[in-house]
Amino acid sequence: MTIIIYIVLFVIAIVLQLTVAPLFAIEGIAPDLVLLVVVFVAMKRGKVWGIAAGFVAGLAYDFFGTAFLGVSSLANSVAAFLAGLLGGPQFEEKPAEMIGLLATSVFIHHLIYFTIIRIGSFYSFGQLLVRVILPQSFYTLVFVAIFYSILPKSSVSHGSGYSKR
Amino acid sequence: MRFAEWFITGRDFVALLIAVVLSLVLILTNEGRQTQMLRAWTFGGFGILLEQMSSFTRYRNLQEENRWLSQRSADLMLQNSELYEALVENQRLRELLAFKNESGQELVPAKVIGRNENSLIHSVFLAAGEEDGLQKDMAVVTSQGLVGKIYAVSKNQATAQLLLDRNFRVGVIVQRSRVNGVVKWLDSGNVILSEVAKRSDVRIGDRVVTSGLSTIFPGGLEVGYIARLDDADPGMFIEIALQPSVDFSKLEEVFVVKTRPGSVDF
Repeated sequence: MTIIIYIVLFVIAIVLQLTVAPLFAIEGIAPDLVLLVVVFVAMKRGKVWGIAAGFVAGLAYDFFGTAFLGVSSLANSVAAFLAGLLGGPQFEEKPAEMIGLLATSVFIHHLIYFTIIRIGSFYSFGQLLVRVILPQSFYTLVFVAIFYSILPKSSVSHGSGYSKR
Repeated sequence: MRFAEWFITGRDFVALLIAVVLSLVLILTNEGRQTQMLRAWTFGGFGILLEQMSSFTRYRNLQEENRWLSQRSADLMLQNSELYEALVENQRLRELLAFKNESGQELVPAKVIGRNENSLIHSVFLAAGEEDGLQKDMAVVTSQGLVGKIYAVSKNQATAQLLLDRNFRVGVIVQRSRVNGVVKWLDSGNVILSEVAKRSDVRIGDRVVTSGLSTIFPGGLEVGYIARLDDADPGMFIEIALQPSVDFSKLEEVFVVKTRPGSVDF
């Protein structure tokens, strides 16, 4: 049942990413709603679930673009691994660390994704970082923050599927 | 035994490793036929959802589009009279020179039902596919000019790669001076006219159209206007910023050119 809910969540996220997210784009920078759900699953269910969800959702999303197939899968999987750490009990009472790790996972996602699809373009890495990766990370993080401020706290804390150690 | 223990305790890392390896394999085997089939299959699955969702988002631009269309219709009325004169003259000259009439382009209308855009990737999803006669690499246009080309096709949907995409190239000429060049991506939302030598006759405001030296794009499709010239670069070529004719932020309906030009691509 849980898997079906997550699949529905991802389908909604991909459809919204392709139809609604462009309406929020500023200078070509749009929030990454698929990553938002990947982070949610990773925090809720742990790293393994997050990686699996990130890989499959990334693959589905890659089918719609003109970028290399597998780029979003790679970026989402790594971001989910990092975000999965957030679901652990060690972060429950440490909001600063939690935000820091969340920002890192979003940044790492965009760093991997854009570095790969930049190959062969005029952009230097510095330009890519300043013009694309940092603004995109910030914008996505704003949406992630809004999303989590709306959700009740219990829905984000680690669930039964989370690997306890 | 130790490996088995590590496999159980380190299952997070194992999962990450598997995902990374699979992703890298996919990245390195992108142009395979199976990959193209998977793309087509996924379009089919999501196409209906995208089509329904796009009808909601389209209302946002309707009022602005209406104003723009009224203005455009007035402009076109004025242009129409000038073009009619040119058409009459053109027909007379063609008959005289026994030129083959090249105006018979077959166009397929297609609604834009979704977008995949970031700073480097620019593509749109169209509610038309193989059943409408669409094929990979067909040119996509609007009344404003060249939009892009078909990148992937499924039964009822297709993806079009836009002129703004970083992997897009098109051979063009400056209409006034017949100088040849290639339009390609510069950075987010901007394109340049490249491969133009420094002493070439190009001016700001010159209209740039497709050259026709391609199996994808028919000649004479408007691509844009020269917006800025910069010859400060020590190389052989001048850097020319191009303002695309099409307003990509307002793409809602496009046409796919079914007729392919017969010449050889370069």
